[in-house]
Amino acid sequence: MKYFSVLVAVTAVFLFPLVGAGQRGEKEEIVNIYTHRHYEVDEQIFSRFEKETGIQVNVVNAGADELIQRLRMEGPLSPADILVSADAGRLVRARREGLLQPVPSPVLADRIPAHLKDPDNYWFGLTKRARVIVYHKNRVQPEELSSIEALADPGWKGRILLRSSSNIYNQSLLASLIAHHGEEAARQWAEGIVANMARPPQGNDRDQMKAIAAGIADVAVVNTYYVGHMLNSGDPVEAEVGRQIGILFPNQENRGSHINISGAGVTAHAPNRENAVRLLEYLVSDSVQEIFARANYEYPVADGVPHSDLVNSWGDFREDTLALSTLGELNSAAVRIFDEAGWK
Amino acid sequence: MKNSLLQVSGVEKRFSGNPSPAVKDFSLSLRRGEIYALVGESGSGKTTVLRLIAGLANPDKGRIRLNGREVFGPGVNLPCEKRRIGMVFQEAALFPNLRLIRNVAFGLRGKGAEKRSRAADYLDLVGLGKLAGRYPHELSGGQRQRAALARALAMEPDLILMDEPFSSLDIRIKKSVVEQVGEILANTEATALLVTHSIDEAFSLAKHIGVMRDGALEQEGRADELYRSPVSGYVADFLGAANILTISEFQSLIHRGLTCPDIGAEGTEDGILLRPEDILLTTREIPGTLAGRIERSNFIGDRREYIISAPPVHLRVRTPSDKIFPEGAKVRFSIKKESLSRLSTANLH
Amino acid sequence: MGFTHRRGWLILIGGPALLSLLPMAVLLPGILESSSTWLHLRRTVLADYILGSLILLAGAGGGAFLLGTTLAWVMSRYSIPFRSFFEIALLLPHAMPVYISAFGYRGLVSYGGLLHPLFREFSGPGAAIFVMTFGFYTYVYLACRAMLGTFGGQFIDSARAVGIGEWQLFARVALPLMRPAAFAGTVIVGIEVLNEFGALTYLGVESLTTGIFRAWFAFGDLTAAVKLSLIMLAAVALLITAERLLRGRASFAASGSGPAPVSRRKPSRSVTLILMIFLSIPILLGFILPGLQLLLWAGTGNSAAHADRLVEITVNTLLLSGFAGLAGVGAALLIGFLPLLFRRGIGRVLAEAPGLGYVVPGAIIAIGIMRITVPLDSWLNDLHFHFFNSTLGLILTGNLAILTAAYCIRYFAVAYRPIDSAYTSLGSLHIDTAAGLGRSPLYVFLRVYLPQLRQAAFFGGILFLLDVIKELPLTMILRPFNFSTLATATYALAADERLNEAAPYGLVLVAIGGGITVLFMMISSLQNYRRRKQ
Repeated sequence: MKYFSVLVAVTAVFLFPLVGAGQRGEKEEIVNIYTHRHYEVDEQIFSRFEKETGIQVNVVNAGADELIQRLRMEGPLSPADILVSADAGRLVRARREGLLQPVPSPVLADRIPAHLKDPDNYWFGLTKRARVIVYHKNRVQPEELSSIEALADPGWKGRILLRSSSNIYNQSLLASLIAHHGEEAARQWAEGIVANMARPPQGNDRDQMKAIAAGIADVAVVNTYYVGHMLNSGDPVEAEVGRQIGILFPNQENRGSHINISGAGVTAHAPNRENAVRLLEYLVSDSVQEIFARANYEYPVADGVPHSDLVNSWGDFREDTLALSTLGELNSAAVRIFDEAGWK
Repeated sequence: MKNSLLQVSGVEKRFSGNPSPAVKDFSLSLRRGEIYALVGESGSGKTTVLRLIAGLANPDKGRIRLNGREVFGPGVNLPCEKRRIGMVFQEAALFPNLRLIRNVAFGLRGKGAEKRSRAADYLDLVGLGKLAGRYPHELSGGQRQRAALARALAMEPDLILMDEPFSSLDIRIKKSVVEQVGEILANTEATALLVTHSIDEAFSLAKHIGVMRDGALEQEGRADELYRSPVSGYVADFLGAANILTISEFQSLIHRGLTCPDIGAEGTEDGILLRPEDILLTTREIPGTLAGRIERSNFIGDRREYIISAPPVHLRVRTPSDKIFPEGAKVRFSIKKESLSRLSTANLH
Repeated sequence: MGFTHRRGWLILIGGPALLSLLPMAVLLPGILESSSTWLHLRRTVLADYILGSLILLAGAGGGAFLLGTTLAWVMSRYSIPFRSFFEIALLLPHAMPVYISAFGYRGLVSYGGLLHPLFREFSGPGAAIFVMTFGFYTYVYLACRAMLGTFGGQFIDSARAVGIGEWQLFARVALPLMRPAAFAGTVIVGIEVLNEFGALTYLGVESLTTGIFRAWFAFGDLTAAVKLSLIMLAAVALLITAERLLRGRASFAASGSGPAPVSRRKPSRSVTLILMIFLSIPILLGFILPGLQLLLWAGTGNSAAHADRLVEITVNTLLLSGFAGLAGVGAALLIGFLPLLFRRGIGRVLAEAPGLGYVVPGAIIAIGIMRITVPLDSWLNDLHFHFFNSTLGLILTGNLAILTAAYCIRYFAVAYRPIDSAYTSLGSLHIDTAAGLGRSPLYVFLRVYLPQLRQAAFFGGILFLLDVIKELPLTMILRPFNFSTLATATYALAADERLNEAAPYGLVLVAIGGGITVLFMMISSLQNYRRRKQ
């Protein structure tokens, strides 16, 4: 009957999606990456890697939390080789949940400073940035600003903006404060900041900067590379905002500015482990580090790699050499304290 | 019996939520070529019986044999599709998206051309040959019923079941459609079971009639037997207008001088059936007649109907319409000789 | 044949219908568990989440109710120039996902935006209620228009005979008449509000759903996520019950003259102008303004570089949604047949079961599915290893067919509703008739029912398709390698602060959705026109 052939056709159509599955069993050389970053620059770097090594790079882009959950659920069968995150805290969490494996690579050990990687080689920082204070050049003098802690002073009431506590960059910032000052002081700081906020947290780092330009507040806390992106944006409005804003590296008199990394680790059950290590080592090579620096206004982790001109214009700064693994360990405390302080 | 096409024995059906069964201890037997009408009020169980025979519902107890095979019984329950029956419903139930020819060919197997030619034959049989390409909504009610019949007949089933097939027809065409259907059934020598609440339809199409009441078969037999000798007032009433007298009422009429056959005085539960057309009216003082007064006079087309009071009873009388007695007039009546019958008045209503 | 055929339907179709509940069922044991995260959340933010959801429900639900009913009245009652334009345009906001609207408005009010410095902020519950009202009113609007279109005539005309004014006509006659339909539409709005995630996260509003995402993704705690979803589901159940109760009393005694739409009135010039402005407002606020912002963003520079990626993702989206649309409609057609086959009640239960997926957040369905596919994959791999000595990798997890199934579970109700009413009007008599003719239910399904269900299937399929194209959380979690849809790409880029780059994806998404909506409207009005000519 013709109904039979219809049935066959329908079954075939339904089986088709399975064709792409089972990526572990492939013969070609590949490496599978779960990454939160999806900058164009990353894609360029991966293409170069593919050309130079013949290893095909497959990428899944998703939110970092999503990726971690997915890795957990997939378990030993996960096809992922590398997990990339724009924050150290998540990498620590990934390690704690048993999702990563150690990589004893002399190249990586050599080129990456100790505080920017996991002490046991479970994950490695690839680029670095600072979380800095930005201010409106017309309304605030740089002399009025000094440290992150000082922003909780009543003098700043109604004049500061920070984004939501659900953002991992803020969580890591608070984690560093907990590490340096203890939970109680950190909570008081958070409560002070909440009292000083010009409006309840909303939007992302760029929104905070735009709000400053709009006059809603005078001061905000953002990542350095966003400033770079604003200034060089194709959107004239954003560029204008960038020009109105000055940046200050906080805590230069004491411990140094809070920094964080974009980093990666090899997954615990990576099917293409060697390719993964190769890629990681490739990413800390001079040429690639320079690309990161120029195209993304990030700081390279390796020494001796030139920064972009813009970043150079900000000058050198002292960085907080707190081991970033600590940030991850204190993450849940940070989230808890945010909730208790009412930081939305 | 060798000639019996359908045999239903002891069938019972209960529906949940109802204390009394819809069909109780029902038995029926149909011979090949016979047309049987099952009549009753709504709720009497007749449609349920039909659905049980068709296989659209399952009895709780009993057996059903069709054309020598047991289709329902202990360990056997042949599904409807396999029972080789044809069905015609009240709403014709033609498939609205198919042309008539495809409707009729729906149940046929085989190659397309063969099916279509057979379907065309049956459409011709019911007089709808020229309308084979039409869709159901383009046909009249009567045409649709005939098409449904063609569709059922085309299957050449062992048995045709019809569930109130004429109820939704306009009264003006009903009579002719009923006649046509009767003719078709006769021509094809079909065996059919018709369910209806209309005794006129039953008389028209069937020789055998069964009267159902509250799930049980009250009486069955030839139409004229049921009419003449119903076993109960219920059946009597169903088959036509009836005068039902108690024995004592009847005795009093006889005492007053009415001539009639001797029925016998036993059984106080019984009654006497007197059909209105069996009462004769006259103005003359003939011995054996009784006096009465015309209470009401109605013209009903081919006859006149009178209600006369003759204590202790009121009687309904029907006469040819040319005989006119005005209301209030005094009249004398007598009874035709062989026209009385006894019946059980238990549960008349 | 016969009863075994019915049994076949029960197992082959009814089985999967019940299976659709499996992802939710798998998570149920979580009710009994507890966790430190849950306790923490309960102590600190649970009240905020619940309050947040309630405020949004009241605000957006009320807003959608008011807007939808008044729009339906104006469109039904008054004769207005460019009517067909308004007919179509008023539905366009349905094609604009609420999260994209939120991005758009944020852009409009921030420094350099079109609405700056008139409005400087766009965040918080007020903003959320705003975008959701103008994004979801279409549900109420459509339901009320259908009601007025069918029953309006009789009631309005008899009221006019009494000689009351237009306002009274609206308030005393039309509004009560529309109420059951409006409530039903508002319940759907309520479900959408409770399910909304992208816009609320972006605008910084807390609700049960954002809490669920936070519990699952940030805390990695499934128990807390499941408990929060149960609270959310309880809220939905309350909504639905409230609507049923309110609706239960209302019934319609349609008079013999049959369905008739409201007779139209041509108002004075000034009133016409006012009405036209009124009608334009939702179109402007729900579609044009955010769309404009998207265009502006897309125009600034970097989009050209991403052209092939955009094309690839668009193709992905179209293929996936097309495939899912076919699957969803197919499922609705097959499962919708069950109530006709099994009249006693089990048919209806089986057919309504998959509809439950509509009220469950997409993320929860995704988690439940992964909870099933991962162990299954593990088992399959063990089996394969046993015979062939090599691993297979993940077959089910991250599989497009599974994602399609997830869409079917989530949006089944959308495709099912029009198909179900079509089935109900067709009735089950044909099955008996066919049985009497020796034909199985499958045969009569294919030859008699399906041909008559074409229009309902088309409607259901279009609505299903639209929802799948816009879908975000489920897709984010279950998609395979190297696979993004327009929705996930837009959200990911926007959430990552790259709105300029997000804009082209958002535009294509809205364009496709809008295009489908317009096409749908034109086809259905063409059919109405043809039907009226008959």
